[in-house]
Order: sequence, then structure tokens, then C-alpha cells
Amino acid sequence: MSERPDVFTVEVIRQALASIAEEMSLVVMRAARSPLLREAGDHSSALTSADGGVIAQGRDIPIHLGVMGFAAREFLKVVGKERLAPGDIWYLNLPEVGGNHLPDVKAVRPVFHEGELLAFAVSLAHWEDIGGATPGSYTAHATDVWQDGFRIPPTRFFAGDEPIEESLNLLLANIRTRDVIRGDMFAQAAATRVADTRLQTLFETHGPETFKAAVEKLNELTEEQTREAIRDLPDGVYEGEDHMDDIGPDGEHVAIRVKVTIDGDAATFDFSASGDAVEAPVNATPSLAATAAGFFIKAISKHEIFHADGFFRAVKVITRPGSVLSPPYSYPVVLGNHETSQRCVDAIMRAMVHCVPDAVTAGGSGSASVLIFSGQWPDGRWWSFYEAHGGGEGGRVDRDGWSATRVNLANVMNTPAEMVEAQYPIVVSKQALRDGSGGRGRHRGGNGVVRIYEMLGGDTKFAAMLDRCKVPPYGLLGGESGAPYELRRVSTDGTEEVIEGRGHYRLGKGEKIILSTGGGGGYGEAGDG
Amino acid sequence: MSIMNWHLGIDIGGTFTDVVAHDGTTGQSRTAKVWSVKDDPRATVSTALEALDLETADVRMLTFGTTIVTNAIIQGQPGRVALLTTAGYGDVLDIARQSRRVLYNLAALPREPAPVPRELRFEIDARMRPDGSIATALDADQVRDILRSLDGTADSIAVSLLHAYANGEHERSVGELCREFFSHVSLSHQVWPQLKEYERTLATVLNASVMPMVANYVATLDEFLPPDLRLELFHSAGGMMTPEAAVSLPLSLALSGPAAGVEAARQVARDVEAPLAISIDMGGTTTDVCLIVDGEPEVRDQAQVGPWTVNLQMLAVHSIGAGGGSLVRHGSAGMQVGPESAGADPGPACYGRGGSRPTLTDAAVILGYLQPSTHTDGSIRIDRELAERAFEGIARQLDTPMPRVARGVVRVANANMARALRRITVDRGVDTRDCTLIAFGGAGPMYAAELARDVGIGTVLVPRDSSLLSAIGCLTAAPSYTRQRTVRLAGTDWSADAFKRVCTEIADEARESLLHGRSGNPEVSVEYIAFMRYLGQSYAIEIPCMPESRADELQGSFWRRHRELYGYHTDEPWEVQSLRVAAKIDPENPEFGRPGASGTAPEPIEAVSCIFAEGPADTPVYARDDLGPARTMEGPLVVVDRTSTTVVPPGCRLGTTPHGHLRIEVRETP
Repeated sequence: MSERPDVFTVEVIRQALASIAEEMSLVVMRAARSPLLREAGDHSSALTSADGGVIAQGRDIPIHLGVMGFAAREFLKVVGKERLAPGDIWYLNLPEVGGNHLPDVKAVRPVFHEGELLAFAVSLAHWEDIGGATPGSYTAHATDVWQDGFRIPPTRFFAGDEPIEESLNLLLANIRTRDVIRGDMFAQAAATRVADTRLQTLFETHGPETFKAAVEKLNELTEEQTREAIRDLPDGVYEGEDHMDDIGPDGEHVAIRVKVTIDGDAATFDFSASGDAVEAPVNATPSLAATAAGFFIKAISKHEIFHADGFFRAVKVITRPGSVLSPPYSYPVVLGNHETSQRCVDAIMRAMVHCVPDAVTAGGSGSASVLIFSGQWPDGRWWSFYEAHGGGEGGRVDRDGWSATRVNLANVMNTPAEMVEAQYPIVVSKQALRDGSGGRGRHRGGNGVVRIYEMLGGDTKFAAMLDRCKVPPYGLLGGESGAPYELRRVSTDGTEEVIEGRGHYRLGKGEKIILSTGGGGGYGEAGDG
Repeated sequence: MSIMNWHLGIDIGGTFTDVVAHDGTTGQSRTAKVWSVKDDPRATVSTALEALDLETADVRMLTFGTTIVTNAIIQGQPGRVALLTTAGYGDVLDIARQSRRVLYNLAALPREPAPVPRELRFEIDARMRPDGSIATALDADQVRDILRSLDGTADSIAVSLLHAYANGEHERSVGELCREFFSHVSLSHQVWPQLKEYERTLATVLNASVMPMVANYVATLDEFLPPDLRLELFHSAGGMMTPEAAVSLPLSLALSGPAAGVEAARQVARDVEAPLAISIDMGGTTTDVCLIVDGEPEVRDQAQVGPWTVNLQMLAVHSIGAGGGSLVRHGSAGMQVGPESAGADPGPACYGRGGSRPTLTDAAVILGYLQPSTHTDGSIRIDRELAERAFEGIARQLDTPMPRVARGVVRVANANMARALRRITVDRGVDTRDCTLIAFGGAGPMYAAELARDVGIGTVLVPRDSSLLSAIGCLTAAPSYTRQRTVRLAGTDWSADAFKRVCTEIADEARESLLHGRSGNPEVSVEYIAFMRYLGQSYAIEIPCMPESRADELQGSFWRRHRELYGYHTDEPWEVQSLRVAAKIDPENPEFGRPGASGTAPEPIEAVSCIFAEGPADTPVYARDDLGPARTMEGPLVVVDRTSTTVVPPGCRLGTTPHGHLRIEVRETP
């Protein structure tokens, strides 16, 4: 065993690891086939130590914060160390094996040095199709996970860096856009290969023992940063809850409940009291509950906290098997990824307002409000347009909420109206702030957005995946709620009706869809003015 | 007295103004560094001329790099703008792209507030379709009513209508109406003729906001300078533009400083015929890096200007928070060097101007790289004792000898910079190790050799007059004008005529802007780049082309480049998404900077003790002016000139190129 590395060597290794993770993301962006990865950037890269704990993360997508480490660790449990070999690349997407939702597929590569397993390189990418009931694999009415899509248990698709064609063929036979996905899989493989090469240089420069000791030091630093942030929070037990919209007309509202215990420099987020799993795609996975807790601590900390596994030495996250946050394996989860995960953050905010009222934010645009339009061009080719939206941010102790923004775990951009009009048979006749939608309060919530889509082609398929249509973004400390999300359909004769926020529709030529995203909740009681 | 034939390159920074002068008749050159006079270009030019011992009458041409546009935008003091948009889009600046800047900080403002308040935003009934056909006609009376109602509440007007990149007719008509009421009008299809309404509107508004100020600046200079003296301004895309062109597109002056440095580095890369080079400009607070492929710097059309991500044609300079003034901290985040900086004031502790916190520069003093005695620029005094005092706390806390701490600090700073080098190369599919590093700025040459060794780069060049490089860039640059427009021409029903027509149109526009205010009839060369992609992708790759290029030629080049970058191509339908046209006039002083030959063996001016990765070593110090070409020396050694220090570690070899640049051959640590 070599001596413990000095602080400089630790920082040099940390920078090198971060650089490698960044390179992995650049490789995915350059080599991937689908626009979702290349332009929207819906992917993440991570390096983990030999036990699967994250030591570096590239290209920050907050939703993937807790996911990468869970994926590697659970993968290791299921596959076992003895089956791993250099140059092999495994893929997986099972929600019950550290996953989040089926479209987010992780490529995991064990990295060896002179026969010793020292690290994993993990590349997560959102695949534009993963099979299931509907194109794009977003099925609003899915009642089981097979309607969500194709399930991939940890499987080797590359051995010694060469593709295993039979296995690839089996997988791709279950995907609608097989060529695109094949390209994306190769991009993920290339990212892990680059990481392997660069890690080898790092091992040789510093020696494997120094590398391991530096990684442990990184985790210790991260743990201490986390504990420092928790020490700033008053001790106590704080409870909060929020709800998802009902899971169908007249259905129940799914409760997300958290009990946060702050005890000195340790924190526990216990989500056990949340509702039971439901036969609707709003179930989430334990890794997303961990993501929500991780986000909260990082976002209120006064100083930087590294993305490393040491974080979870100070923060414990509990979910109850059988609940909506730890569903039986057969339950659908596609919307849990970006709707229910956000509600976990909301429940934490509503708990922690009793602990640190000056640090939390009232409820904001907690739905990604995914809309998918698709149809056929006159020549028979298919087009499909997918986008997500922001809305109002909640008020805070020192300021009003911002308008038209993504909050908390979400940060994907919108699609410019000019791009929509140039590429699809749709006119965006208006995009404006939704005046008056922010909740009143001492500091009011920000306003949502109104966007009007007019169909130029006949028979457009339209899928909507909203939440927060019935349970509005909450106010805090006497502030009023923001306006809920709303979806309206305007037929060609001008009649307007409010339609369900989660559903599949067919639109005729000249029909319009009006999306109004939610306003933020107010903070504190409104004055007389 | 000789005929007046001096050409001056002036880089006006916030603190210093660098100036380089070249006499076209005698080939003689002079340089100076003077204090900038705030808000007074006349006084700054006068001071510079005095320092050069020249008068305005001696000067034939003056090229400026200036930070006025950047500073005005950063400080938020530009003029008031009224914005006219298509009906339904008045809130485009509020909605932006809906993303927030900082991910993990609830308290942080998600974005900058819209730069035009709601009461100055007006929607008008004029709408184009994406193919450039008219969906809703323009109502001129409605526009006139709006303009009348403004009545002194705005200094300039921005007009940004939907799909104006496809057809600027409505904007031009609105522009004419505006000019009846306002002298400063900015039209979106002229500022950034590309698809994306928020980005185009923001660029148009920021452009409008600095128009009055730049017009005033240019007028001030015009009054002061003799009428037959030619004035040019250095723009962000790496070339010169006339004052007339700058007044109508002042936003293109933003980031002219970093671009001028890269322009000079480009010349260095060409001097040594390096196919791949990275310029690294390390100052007090930041380090700017840019990739130069085949003697051409990468160009992109997005940049950070103060709080704004702005779309404009500029050199792809990537900036990180690491510089000589970077503060060294040891705390909960381990050992950190930067991004916080001691800046110019108080600066590093060793400058003795009140700074007490340790910086990278203080580490260099402790290691012996920077010597109190040999730093020959009289304006800054180096105090080794102050540097050591600043590091005492950390050395005690770590229970580590001070030189070891200082070495560690340099390693960490280099790790940070190595990350930036990897990012810009990997992003373009280039292997970092294949590049030549061109190091300049006050701090660049000090760390470049060790940095190169860390990332596996074999050659480092330190240009002649490396600390005045931005000013040299102003002198050597060609007049140029770059314009990019969204064209969306599909390969499936390709029309060679349509392609040729848009190429010619954009080239005419670029040529017109290039020649705006230019007398005579200089020869203009034009380069065309097609941005090609498969349908449905929004990320396009750059393919050089000609107006006469055939579809099969374009497709062949596109497939080849796609394979190089991404490892595959397909026979799916493609399109030319946009076209970039660069119009250029050949520069007049391409040969600036050749030194006189000196064959004698140089004598060191002193010997000092330096500490390197390998340990302490006796190190000779040479004056840069004493080094001639064709003589190589083994490290360790240090080379100093008035404003910069070049460190050649043990195992590296120093030479001088025929153009007078220092060349360091880097070898792996044994």
C-alpha cells in the first residue's frame, strides 16, 4: 500500500476523472444517432469505483443524479464480479435493478488494470423508442411495464469490444427505430471505450493504489461537504406531502409523503408513508427518490458538494417496497421519471418549510408537460414531434417566483416556434406568458406559459402527459396556489373544451391545442395591496 | 522625414492599452503598453502615440480592438430599446428557452430579466411562413401609430419578426418606417439571419442597445483623427471592419479582444505550418483556449457576453476561470485553484498592492519562475517575502514545506487547464496530443511546457511579443466579414440554381458590409461553408463548398466528414440547413514580426534556483532579445522579456523559429 496521496494529487485526480466523464458525454453527443441525445442532450455519463459508487459525473442532468450509482451498484449485485471481463459492455434498463424508466438505458463497462477491477464507466442515454404500446414509448394509459416497453436485464452486447450480433438483433427486433437505436448503442459503447483508455493512463501515471486512496479521499470530502450542509439545518423531524393528479377520471390522487429526520450531521428521507403502487405509469423507483433528496441538499447547501457516492454516507433514503416509489417489477413507470420524482422534491420542500423556511421555494412548474404530436406526410413518411415545457417558479422568502422556467430536477429547453413550424405541419400561433397564473403571496409565484398549436395536416396523433392539472402548485406559509396546468382543444368551428391532461387524441386539420402551464405558488400571506 | 506609412494595432483593455506599430516603408516596428484612459478613446490614442514617439500625421492606418461593447453589456448600461415583434410573440424574451442557468441553487435567479420591459414591447400584424411566403400582410399605419406613441421613451428600435431569416421584406419595410422617427434601428434578419426566434430577438435587441454608444465612439475618433487616416475595428469573428459597418452591427465588436489574440496565434500556426494548434491565452483571471485547424480558428455562432448567451459569428474561444491571479484555497472542497481571482486589484500578494491571499502567481514566485530581479517591466514589483507570507497559513495547515505546496498548486492549475484543452479538441474529434500549443498572455508561457507534458503535447510555441499579441492580431488581420443564414435546401429536390442564388445573395450581403465605407476597389475573396445535416437532426456539420457545387459533390463531402466525425454515414435524405459566407480582403502586413538574425551564443543575465516537478535545479535566465534563431538550449532555463516569463523545465529543449517565436520541444519526464 502506498502512502496516502497529498491534497494536490487528490485534486489532480478529481479533475482528471471529471474530464474523462465530460469526454464520455461529448463522445455520445458526437456519435449518437437520435436528435434526443445529440441536440436535447438527454444523457449522462459517470465513473464509479469498483464497488459501483459514483466518483465523477459528466454533463449534469439532475434527474440522473442518484440513478447512475444505483445502476452500477445493483448491476454488480445481480451480475457478480466474477462474470466481468475487460472490454465487455453490458446494457440494462430494469426499474428494479437501479433503473428509473425503460427509455433510459445504461451501458456499463468494467475497467480493469493488470487484472484488477478498479472502476466502471457508465453511459446512460434516453432511447427515442424502447418498444411498448405506442411510438416513442410514452403510453399514458399503460397498466403494466410491458406496455411501457422492452425490458433489458443486465446483458452483454459487446464482448472484447466486439458487438454480439445475435443479442443485438433480439433487442433491436423489439424497437421501432432499430437503426437509430443501434447507432446510439454504439455511441454509448464508444463513450465507455474512451473512458477505459483514459483511465488506463491515469492508473499508470499515479499507480492503482494511489488511485484507490484518492477515490476514497474524494468520497470522504464529499461526505464532509454533505455533513457540513446538514449541520446548518436545525435538528428535528419534518413531514410533508404532495399529490399526483388522479390516475384516470374519478381515480384516486396518489400521495407522496416524506418524513425528514435531521440529526446533527446526518439526514434521513423516509418516503414509506407514500401511497401504494398503481396500475398507471406514475410509479417511480427508489433511485428517483434518492435523486430528489440529493437535489434538495445540494440546492440549499451554501457551498459546492461533489457528485460522489460519499454523499449517501450522510444521507439515507428509505422507500417502502410495494409503494408508488418502489413498485413491484410489473408496474409501469414511464412518467415516474419526470413527474413523480418532482413530486418527491415538492414533498421535501413542504416538509422542510418547517425547518428552513428561508431556504425553500413554493411549488413551481412540477410537470414536464410532455406533448407528442405525430402523423404522416403526404408521401407516407412519419413525423413525430416531442417537447416539454416549463412554467412559473414558486415564490421565495426574498423574491417573487420567475416566470416560464424549468424548476428543480428539470432543465430541458423548449423547441423554438420557428423550428416547430419549419419541420412539422404545425403553426404556433402564440406563445406568451400566462398572466395572472402565479399564486398571490408576500412574494408571488411566477407565471406559466401559453402555447397554441394549430394543425395544418389532417389526422394528427396527439399524446399528452401532464400532471398538476388537478393538484395545483402549492403556496407556502399562507401564499396561494398557482394556477393548475390546463389543456384545451379548439375544434374547427371554434368550440373549446378542456381535455384530460393525460391521454391520447386524434386531431383534424385546423384544430388547435392550447397548453397553459402552471403558475408558481405564492410565498407568505399576501398583503392588502 | 519619411512618408507616413505607419500602421497601428491597438488593443484597448479595461486597464492597459497595448499598441504595436509597423512602418510599411522601412519594415521597422515599435511596441508600447500604456494605461487606458476610461471612456476617452482620443486620450488613449494620444497616450499610445506619445509612447511610440509618433504623431497622427505619421499614421496611415489604425486598427482597434476594444472592450467597450462587452463592458457596456456586462455593466448593463446600454441604451433603452423598444422591440417590435410578430403578434403573439411579445413575450419571447421572457420565455427564452425556459431553462435556468444554475442547477443546484434554489436561491439563484433562473435567468437575467428580459432586456426590454413590457411597456416597450409591441406586437404587429405581420407574419411570414418558414418558406418566406407571407401569411399576414404588414399594416404600415399600425407601425406608425406605435412609433408615434414612443415619443422619446426609447433610444433605438429592434425589429424581430417571425421567420424573418427566410424573408426580410416585412422587417425592411418596418425599418424604413422606423428611420422616420429613430436614427438607430436594428433588424433581426440583418443581425443574425437564422432560425430560432428567441436567440435572434435577443441578438437584435442587444445590438440595438449599443448602437448609440458605438456611433458616438466612432464619431469621437473621426473628429480627432486626420481624414486620410484609415480606421478599422477588430470584430469577434477574427477580422477587421470599417467604422461604418461597426456602427450598424456593433454587437460584432463584443469579444474582439480574445479574438484578436487568436488571430495572432493563427498567424503563428501558419508560420510554423502546424496543421493542428491550440491557442492558450492566460491572463490574470481567465484562460482562453481556441482550436486552430489548418491555420483557421474554429468559428461558432454563440458566445457568452456578460450574463447573456448571444448568437453572433465569433471565434470559438472557450474561457475558464484560471489565471495568474487565481486564488488558492484549501477547505471543504479539498485543494482549489480558482475560479475566484485576486483580479488586477489587489492582484497577487507578491505585487505588494494589498493582496494577502495566496495565488498561482505567488506560487510561481516561490518556485523561482518569477524573479524580483529579472522582471523587467518597471510597473510591477515582485516581493518574494509577501508571496511566502501568503502561503504560510496553507503550508502550516497541510504540514507541508512551502515549495511542495507551491508545486502542488501548479499541478492543480494545470489539471484544470488540461480539462479545457481536452474539451475543445474532443468536441471536434481531434486528438489533443496531435496539437501544437501556442501560449501567450501574461501567464501562459510560464506553465505551458508542463501543461503540454501533462496532456501529451510535444511542441509549445511562445510567440514573439507574446504579451502584446492581441494588438499584433489587430495589425496582421485581414478585413473580413462573415455572414450565416438559415437556408434549408433539401437534397431530395435539389435545385442547383436555388443553391447558387442563395450563395450569391449572401456573398453580396457580406461583400457589401465588408466594403461599406471602404474606398477604392479592393479584391475580395469569398469562402462558402454549407452546414449540412440529415433531415430531423438539428446539429449540422460544416462542409466547404462553392456556389457551383453539385448535389453529388456536397453529398460526397458530407458523407466523408460525417464518417470522420461520427464513424458512419447513411443514405437518408439530407439538407443544407444554413450557409456561412466569409468575404475577405488580403491583409497588408502579413510579414510583421521577423526578427534580425543573431548568431552569437547568448549569455544568461543571471542564474537562479527553481523548483520543478523533478526537484530543485540551478536555472539560467536569458533575456528574450538575446536569443537568436537556429540555436537550441537544454532546460531548465527561463526566458524573460518586458512582460512575460517563459519557463523551460528540465528535459525540454528550447529553440527559436525563423519568425522569432520560441519553440519548446517537450519530452516526457524520465
